[in-house]
Amino acid sequence: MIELYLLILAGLVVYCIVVFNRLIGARNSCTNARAGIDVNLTRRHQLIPNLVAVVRGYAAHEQETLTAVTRARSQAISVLGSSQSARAEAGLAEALALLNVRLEAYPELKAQRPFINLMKNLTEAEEQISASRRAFNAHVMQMNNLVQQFPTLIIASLFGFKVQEPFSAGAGAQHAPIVNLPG
Amino acid sequence: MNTSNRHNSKPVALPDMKATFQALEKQRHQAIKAFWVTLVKSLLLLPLCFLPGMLFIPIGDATLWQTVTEHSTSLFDLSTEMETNFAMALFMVGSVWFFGSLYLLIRFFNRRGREPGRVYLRDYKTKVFSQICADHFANLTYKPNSGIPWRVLDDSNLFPWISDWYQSEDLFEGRVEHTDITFAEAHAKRERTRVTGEGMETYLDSYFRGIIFIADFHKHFHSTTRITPAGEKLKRVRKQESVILEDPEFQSFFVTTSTDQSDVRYILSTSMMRRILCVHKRFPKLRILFQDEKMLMLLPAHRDRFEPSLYKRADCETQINSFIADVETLLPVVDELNLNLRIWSKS
Repeated sequence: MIELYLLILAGLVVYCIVVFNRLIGARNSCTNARAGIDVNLTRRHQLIPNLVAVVRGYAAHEQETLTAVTRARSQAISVLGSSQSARAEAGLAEALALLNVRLEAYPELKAQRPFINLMKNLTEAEEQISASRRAFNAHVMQMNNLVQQFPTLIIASLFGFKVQEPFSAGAGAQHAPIVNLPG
Repeated sequence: MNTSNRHNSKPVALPDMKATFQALEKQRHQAIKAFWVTLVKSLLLLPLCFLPGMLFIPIGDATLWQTVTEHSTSLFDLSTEMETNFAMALFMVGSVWFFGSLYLLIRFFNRRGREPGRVYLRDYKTKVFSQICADHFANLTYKPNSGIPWRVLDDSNLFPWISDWYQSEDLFEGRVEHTDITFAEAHAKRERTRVTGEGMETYLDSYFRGIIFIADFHKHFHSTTRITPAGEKLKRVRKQESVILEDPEFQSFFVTTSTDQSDVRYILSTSMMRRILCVHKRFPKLRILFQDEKMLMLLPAHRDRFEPSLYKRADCETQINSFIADVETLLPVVDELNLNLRIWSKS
């Protein structure tokens, strides 16, 4: 009889270890995916000074819009990785969208090769940000399923695993820059 | 611009090829004549194969075989053992005669009767289809005798097995606007075993027949991503994990595996998933591989495409239109997937 109890106990311990490792794996995946978003955001941040420099040469009258973009970028960089990052990034996306609208009045600039290349890179960065956010949400869903479903929730609550917050599109997401490239 | 409309507007260029059609028509008649003449000759020669069977025709109360053996035994004064050997030798000569002559007859029929037809079809593809392709699809080259190597299919891991028999022909190479494409017809089979009344039997089972379509993808990516029909056996590939995507309809039709959870979502944007579903309506059970910045699609088909007929006139417009239609069915895939949109850094 004691052997049976020991066998059940050993089974439970093994199960706990497996679930614990799965939870750790899921949490690490979330952290990794979150870092992936930051990498892509940094890439977008790095492109903006070049964009501002190219635009300034052709559209000197847009100084105010360019300043707004630069300020939004600085704010986004300062809060990168924190909980305010989403709001700051939404602000930056909004500023870029406004800049894009204003640049409609400068067809000469839009035909320039450096500007086209920058905008292509910016579009790529935007899509990669979107992809990494989707990947992050997928990992969060996996983690939350483990934390909230029975019987894994017992182990999760025992070791203090918490429900993760998925990434929701901020107000600026609706104003993401739309690239209109010539020809 | 829609690809099919772009190509439909051009009429079939038949008048420029009058001399080619005349020569091919002559060749076609000769091929048909050769087939029927050889068939008649073969049928007339067929009884010769069965000549050894005459040994078993009963003459009186014994067969010819028994009679010949008895007569030979008495004529040459052979012992009983020698008599048995003589009978065996007679049987073996008869068998060799039957199988040998049957083999020679089939070979004769294939060489004289069917080969001219094959040569005609090959010439037709090289001379007519290549010309029609050059005329209608300016950026496309047609190579009827080339195909996509078997390694491409086997290395794709889109099927859980590798091919034991593979054939590919009708290779098209070229460009649709900004996108480089290559496609060819392919047929792959694998060896399987089944239990029959007499034990195990090995046979070749066809698992893919259709078009292998390779297109340059419009975005940079570094991962390997596979899209296979849901509910079908999937090959396990190292480092590739299952991906759960946001589109429930896409998820219901396909299983996606990738080496990078973020990169796969960059490739399969929500609009790309909808576009793949559109292609899926025209080519059910399609399989896709994204690798080395290229997109490989396996588009199943139930019939041989780009095939002329020996029994249709060389200048038959239906046949030529059917070839054009076959190509036009495939080219819109590039537009359907929006591969010509080059707003990313890859251009």
